[in-house]
Amino acid sequence: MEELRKVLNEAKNRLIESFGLEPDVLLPDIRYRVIEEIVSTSIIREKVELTLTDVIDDAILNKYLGIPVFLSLAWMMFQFTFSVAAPIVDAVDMFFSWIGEIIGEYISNSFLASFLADGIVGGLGTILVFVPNIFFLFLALSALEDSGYLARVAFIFDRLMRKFRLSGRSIIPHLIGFGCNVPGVMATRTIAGENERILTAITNPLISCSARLPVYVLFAGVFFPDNSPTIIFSLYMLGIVLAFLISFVVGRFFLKGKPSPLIMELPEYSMPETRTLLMHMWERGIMFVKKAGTVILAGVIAIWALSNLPLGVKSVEESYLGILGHIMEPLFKPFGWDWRIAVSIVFGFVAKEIVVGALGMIYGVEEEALEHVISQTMTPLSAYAFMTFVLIYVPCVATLAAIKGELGWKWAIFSAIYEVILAYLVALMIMVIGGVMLS
Amino acid sequence: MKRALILYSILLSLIFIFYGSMDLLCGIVRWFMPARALPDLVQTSLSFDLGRGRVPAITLDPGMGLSLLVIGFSLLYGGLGSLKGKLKGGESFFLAGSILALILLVLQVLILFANGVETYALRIEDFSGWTPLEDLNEGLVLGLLAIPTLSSSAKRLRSLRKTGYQKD
Repeated sequence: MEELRKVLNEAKNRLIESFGLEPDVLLPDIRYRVIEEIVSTSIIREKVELTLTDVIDDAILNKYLGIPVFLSLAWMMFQFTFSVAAPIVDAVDMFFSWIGEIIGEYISNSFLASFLADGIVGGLGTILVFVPNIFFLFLALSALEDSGYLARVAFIFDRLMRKFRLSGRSIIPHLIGFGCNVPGVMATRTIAGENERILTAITNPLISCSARLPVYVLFAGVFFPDNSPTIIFSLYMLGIVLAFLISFVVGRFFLKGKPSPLIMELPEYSMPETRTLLMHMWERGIMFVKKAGTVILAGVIAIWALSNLPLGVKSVEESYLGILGHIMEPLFKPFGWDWRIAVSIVFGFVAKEIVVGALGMIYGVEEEALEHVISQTMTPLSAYAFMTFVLIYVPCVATLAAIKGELGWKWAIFSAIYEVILAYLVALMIMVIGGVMLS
Repeated sequence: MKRALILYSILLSLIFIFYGSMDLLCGIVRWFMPARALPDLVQTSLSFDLGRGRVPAITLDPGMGLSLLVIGFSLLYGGLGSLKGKLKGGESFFLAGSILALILLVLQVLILFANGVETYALRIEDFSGWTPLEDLNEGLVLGLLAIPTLSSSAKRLRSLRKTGYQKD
């Protein structure tokens, strides 16, 4: 085996010396040259043609314009997700408020009424209110994918990503991570280089999945009403920047080696079909609703139980949940979060959506009233630090299980630990630097 | 492409760049300086008073600023290249800028419609007193001004899709 490796390395070095290219790049290059030769001898054209795709790519893949175009389209996507979906979000919210009123009116048993109104409507309802945002996000992502643009993002970012010890191919799992980090981590199997695969998988949880969106929409809407989509956009971008930085640090000190070159065929641009777009949106969005009916419902019931135990407690503060919150409170004092906010993040470990549901239940209010209550307990700066913490801290159980499945226990534990530390440090930096700048 | 249309697009691109720079710079400054003086000054200097409101309504949103700048520079570079008769490094940027301007225009119209639903159909308290004039922002107004550019690009896109670009 050792001898074979030696022979292979010698052959590889000879190829690099002769052609000046890595074998990974050289082989497809030669293949395409042969194809071009065959085509040029068998097809006679009167004129040289440039397709619509060639013309648009000249601008979209330009080294100066490529990344600004991506950032601009990403901002427009969040405008669409937040502002255009707003009436449907409000309509769903009104529906849950009406259900809450009916429960209060018709159910006399206080224990059952509390379970249904605070547990199910207050917890699950608070999360389901954001389902339209998630559907709209998937609709926009599907439009970018079906038009052929999303595949080009890998190419646009390749040059930049190589500086951070990743390859352009790593962007695909990261883009999938915008929907959910679990398939994002699993998609790293397509990456050939072992080091890039590890770096992409362990940084994928830093990419904001749709589960974080309810937290962002709630807090950005309350504390930054004039710039909510831009604030949400900044969080998504912060996640990408941190993923690059962590890749660089881990790659530089723990996983040495050069990233493999990117070779991919870009599809032609095409006009997305409405039916296909709606189908993609439904397939991806309905997964969130199903999750709400299983994992999130279980989590919400667990929180409701913790907030009502031991039996006979008069307020949430006296319950197990309150006790846990008060234990955690000193740790988060520098961020200006009280025990309620501190304890809500514990449940994000099960699924990040539960953070909003937990807040609804702890404060004992529904979405609209929740907005009012949290606006009284936090400042815009501490709210931004909270959103950042939710973005970065420990990935949900399912993502950790996916990392364990792909890379083993060692990297799963490493991910969990580094993300908690990073979340705390970044939130602290936001409070300190933001505090200095605002003062 | 007609020379007059190219010149119009170049002029429009400069307006895109001007409003984009204002939005980006003032938007970022406003995050750290909550005082109203700067936004008010920019609002009054860059928009026209129509009695019931100012048009365009300046958002001072850095995201909007970035989008306007990207569209502006694409149209400018594309316009200058088109004057020299270039397809690559000319018309291609013009087409890309036009497509982005169209996406931004459609998005702003959708937001206007969504806010209308919030106000008149759902009667949401936060939207009481809202008028459509409030959403006639720089993205929508400049998008409307770009319609001649958009329609010329649409014709070009159709012809390119059918036959591709034929070069001697």
